[in-house]
Amino acid sequence: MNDPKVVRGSNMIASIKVSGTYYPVFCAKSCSFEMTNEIINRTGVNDGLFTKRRIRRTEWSGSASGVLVTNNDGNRYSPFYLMQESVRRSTMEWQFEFTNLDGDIRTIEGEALIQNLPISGDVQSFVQCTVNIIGTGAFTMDESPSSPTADENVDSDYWVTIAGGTSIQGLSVYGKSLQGKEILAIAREGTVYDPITTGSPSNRTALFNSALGRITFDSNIPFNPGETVWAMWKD
Amino acid sequence: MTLSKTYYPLATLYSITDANLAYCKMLLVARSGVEFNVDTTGLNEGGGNYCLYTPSTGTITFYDQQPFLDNESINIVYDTNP
Repeated sequence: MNDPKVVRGSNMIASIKVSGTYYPVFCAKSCSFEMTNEIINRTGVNDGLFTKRRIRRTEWSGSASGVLVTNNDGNRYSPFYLMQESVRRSTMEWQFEFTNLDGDIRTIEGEALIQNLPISGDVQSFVQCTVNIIGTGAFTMDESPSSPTADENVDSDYWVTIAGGTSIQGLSVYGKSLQGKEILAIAREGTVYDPITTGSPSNRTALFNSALGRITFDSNIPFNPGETVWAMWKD
Repeated sequence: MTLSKTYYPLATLYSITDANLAYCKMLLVARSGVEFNVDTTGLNEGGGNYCLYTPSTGTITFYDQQPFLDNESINIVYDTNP
């Protein structure tokens, strides 16, 4: 495969945090991470013949397996260390690191408990060990880009108002129009307003009409001389 | 995708949690009209115009000594694909 963004199995590493540093767990040959959503029904009386569902809780788990080693060093930690921590009922910080062929790294980190730790010895081979963990609490992922962002033409500008008026429409100071746009944020003299698209604006709400490209404020709070209205929108 | 939402939180609370905000990039957070700086490290939890964003849970936490009052609103503009 020529795609440089793929991750080979050898570049997925399970590590535990000890004294602030992550160390790979023993001489692992394979590891896994799994996230599971609990799906529950939410079918209502008006939902017809098909079942509707939603996600309730999310949980995660992982495992690592490989050859047993007896010592801890800068490159790995022994299953015996994990066993000690397990008996102590300790929560440990785990990290799953994924490195693609370009060298980009993404990590998943979270606290987990050791559920079981089987060790097996074969007279013809090395002693094999597996550690299975279950996450406690949320995992965190780093925030590096996951995919290119489509250009939504997010833009912003401001309008000079007419004293006594309560709405703006037409072109902004830099010649932009709100017609046909989706509003993201509205501010009047630096105060951010709650955008609404139906009903009547009152107090700190502002009514946006996309078809007309118009923002209307509470009629009881007309513009003062020199007021400006700022908006952020996208296509 | 850039989206915006307005929340009307319960008085006495000081944070909002929404799964839709998980792992997003916060572009604008305003509380009752006032724009807040977004912190993800927790270093600025002490107040001022800072709020703490926790990506793993989609939580925005404000200063606990300044809980929401009645009729407050939170405006958020966020990018779902940071």
